[in-house]
Amino acid sequence: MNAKQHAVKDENIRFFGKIVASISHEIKNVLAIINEKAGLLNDLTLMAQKGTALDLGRIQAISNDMQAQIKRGDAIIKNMNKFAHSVDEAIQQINLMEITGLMTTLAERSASRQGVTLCLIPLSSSPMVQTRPFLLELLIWNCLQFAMPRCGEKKTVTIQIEQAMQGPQVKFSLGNNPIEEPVAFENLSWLLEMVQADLRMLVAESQLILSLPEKIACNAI
Amino acid sequence: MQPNVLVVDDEAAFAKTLAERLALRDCRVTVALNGNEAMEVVQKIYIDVVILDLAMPGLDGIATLKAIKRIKPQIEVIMLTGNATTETASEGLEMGAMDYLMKPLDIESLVELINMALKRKSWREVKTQAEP
Repeated sequence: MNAKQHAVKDENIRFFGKIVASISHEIKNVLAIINEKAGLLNDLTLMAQKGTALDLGRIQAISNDMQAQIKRGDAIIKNMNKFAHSVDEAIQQINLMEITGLMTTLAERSASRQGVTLCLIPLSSSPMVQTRPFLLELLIWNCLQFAMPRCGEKKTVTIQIEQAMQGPQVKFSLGNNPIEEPVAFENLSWLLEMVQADLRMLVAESQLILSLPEKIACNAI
Repeated sequence: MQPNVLVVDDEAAFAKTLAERLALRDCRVTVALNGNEAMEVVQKIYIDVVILDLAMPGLDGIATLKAIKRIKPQIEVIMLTGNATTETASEGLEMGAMDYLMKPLDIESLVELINMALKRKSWREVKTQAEP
């Protein structure tokens, strides 16, 4: 394995680690809430045993809250599962809206810590791209990480999928925040090369544009 | 003595349920959903102990801890962490937090820590008054 391949492998592992750490934190939060709700049910039961009247409406509400947290946990685990499987998947047809949606959801914790809202505009019929899912996920993640600290006072990054003349695109709009520094994306050159994608910043529009080929050459990876 | 406790956590369902359970254990509890709200509370209400989540958006746990200790050093802080690693919690201890607990919580361990915090705070107040 040459130095470049080592660097790519390290970057992939780092990315995987960040996502797993973020997901595990979310799961911990869900468990912590269920733990408190279950504890509260226990407290109320002990009080009832000592003669305090049991409020059935309250019990019902706690039970509903617990079910809501279990649904939340289930959704988190489903996303984790989708993401984990993408690591070992070869080149395949991918729904661009779905994969962008997955990465937007996985980046929500990071966004929330920066006080940023990620707004993905829904699209009924998404372009399909034939690529390696894990690398595309890493690319979208990097675009979101670039966009979040630069989205100005509105603190919102709007993400939009489009089928442009030259191929499918993911647009990250940073509000009206002017980007003054030159943006080269040199650190992503290896990834852009592997996915055969183009990433550019439209300074006047405050937009980051990720352009993808509909199909990457199989010998590219 | 009924302890005045502030629970600070951005997970509202967690913070409110924990507050209810602490209230059943004879604590007077206030809830804040972020670091800024916590700072407003400690400036307005008499608080003995803050139960502080470390991972919060905006003013995070460590920044909130620093801010509390700067304006009300007598308040005892117990940190909550969901992380398996304890690096941030150790940083908090160095900044004057009394102790930390891992999520999911054991309520009786928390109550024990709150009682210890109260004793520590009273002892410190007595010591300060006794000093010339």
